[in-house]
Amino acid sequence: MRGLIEKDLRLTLVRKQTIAIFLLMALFMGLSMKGSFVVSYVTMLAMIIATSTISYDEYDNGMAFIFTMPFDRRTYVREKYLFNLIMAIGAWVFGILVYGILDLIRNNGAGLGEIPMLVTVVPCIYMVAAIMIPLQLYFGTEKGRLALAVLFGAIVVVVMAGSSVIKSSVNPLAAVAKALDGLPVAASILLVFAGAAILTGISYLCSVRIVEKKEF
Amino acid sequence: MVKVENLVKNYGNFKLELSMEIADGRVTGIVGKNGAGKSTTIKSILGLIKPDGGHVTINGVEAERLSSRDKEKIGVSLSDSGFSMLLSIRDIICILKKMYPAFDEAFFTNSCKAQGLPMNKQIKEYSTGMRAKLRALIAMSHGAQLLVMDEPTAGLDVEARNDILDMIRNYLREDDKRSVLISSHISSDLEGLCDDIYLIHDGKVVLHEDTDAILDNYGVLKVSEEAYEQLDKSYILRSRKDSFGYSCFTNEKHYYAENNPGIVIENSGIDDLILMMTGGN
Amino acid sequence: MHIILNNNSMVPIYEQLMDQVKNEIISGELAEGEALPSVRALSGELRISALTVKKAYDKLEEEGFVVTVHGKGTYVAATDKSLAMEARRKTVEDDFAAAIRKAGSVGFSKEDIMEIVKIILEEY
Repeated sequence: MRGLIEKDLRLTLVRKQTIAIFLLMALFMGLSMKGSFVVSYVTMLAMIIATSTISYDEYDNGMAFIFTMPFDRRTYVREKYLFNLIMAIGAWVFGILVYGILDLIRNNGAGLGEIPMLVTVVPCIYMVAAIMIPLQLYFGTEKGRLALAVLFGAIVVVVMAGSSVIKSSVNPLAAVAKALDGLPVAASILLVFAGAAILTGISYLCSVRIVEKKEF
Repeated sequence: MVKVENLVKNYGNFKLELSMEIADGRVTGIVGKNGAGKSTTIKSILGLIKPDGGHVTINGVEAERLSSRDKEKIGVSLSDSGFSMLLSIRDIICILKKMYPAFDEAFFTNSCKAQGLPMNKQIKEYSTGMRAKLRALIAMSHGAQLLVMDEPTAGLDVEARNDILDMIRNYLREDDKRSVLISSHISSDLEGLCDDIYLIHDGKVVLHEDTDAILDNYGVLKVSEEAYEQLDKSYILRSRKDSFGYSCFTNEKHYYAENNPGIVIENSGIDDLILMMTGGN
Repeated sequence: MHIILNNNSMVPIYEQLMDQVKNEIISGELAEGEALPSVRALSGELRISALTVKKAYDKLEEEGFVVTVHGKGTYVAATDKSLAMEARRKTVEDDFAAAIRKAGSVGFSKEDIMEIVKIILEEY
């Protein structure tokens, strides 16, 4: 596990320029935009970088060699989820620092109260990784991207259809929405975490099945 | 050390079906043409592909169920796979250190330097020979008891090939319980290294023999057509018609030398073995 | 040890190796009690399989030229050199006898044989 994390860290650090550009963009965004968008933005970028380590593993048929090293297939999958989490939290902390410092300078820290709510950025964006990891493992890098695009397309269609249903007739979701609105902040944060945890659990089990069936 | 029992693997029209064994302290070679099934065999032994039938065990453990502990004692060099080319040797040292408790950093660093491999360059900037040497050194970097090398010398010039073979020899010298499984289609590489050799053709073992028996007892008889008619063919494995008559491949050249004074016998290397056993009728 | 192997010879490699080690022992170049290189060291140096070296060592042990101490190595045995020399002489004599028999069967006279030996000796 430690070796795998080291490998992914090294693979990430190799792309110094990409990371530098991302960080600069984050700073620029923090300066130019008022809100807390920068936090979600850097966390999202970190997720993209972290999931792309799977592509780097696959590149040049590298998986065959990787799986001769001393760990089992389950550990490989577990490390990917852990690495994504580490990256998400790391990027989130960086984003919060940028946001907080700029807020202190500009608004005397008026926006700092938002930080507890911003904690939900991590599980929300981690869910994207939870969807991307099994897709990448199953379809490979190229097809994985395509599958992701198709999936998001499908989600958009479902959401659109759903919203038209909501608008047109008796709103079945209104009750749910109302109930959610009534929830205290802490409870809704907890709900988001629980949702992310369940999705990650399912995603992890799928990924393990995919990798255990694979041949290299 | 390694036992392959009735391994079966189907790939469309290609069917691999073989058994083999690598004893403790043995250097075993697999030779065969490209596409004969060498890589498939090696990948099954490493648990990278799942057999459709049969068993592969390493020290009694099913290849697919090897624990991390078991895998730490195996060093692997694959012909078409390795660490990401974006990494440098410095990165790889950091990874190996965390991956293998027995990683020998001093040995690895010194060997890389001795082979002229730059420490800070990305592997993608390396030549083919340098990449092959690095793959071999990585396999040997953690004192593995079993070295599995798929075509470690493919596509290299004579000098680089000899460098890699010498690296393996030095590795063996350290500890005489170390075993090696090595495949190659350049059989002269294996003649001076392997204790025994499996010749694979079309997914099957065509011949398994100790290397010294091949070199000492196998030969090619060159005979005219008339002589061929009268030749005692008890120990002729294959014959092939040539411009001058027949080339006969035997595993008892001394028998023919004694009983047919004046007969032309060429010592055969493993190349003849491949040629005669997979080509002739 | 100075070993030179000929891959094109009809004499098996392990026999060539045995003969040369024997020669060194008989000539005294390898002293009694001296360690021979380990099987893998010698196989690496000569670029022949370890099994070939092991076979040569085993046969040398059978013939009493060396002893192998398990887990330690192979050493030159305390041989009676004159006895070994005697054995060597005997094999050479046998070779001569075989050649003379062969010559006789093709109809060579004693004088013919002497003549051939003389010519060979002059070239030698």
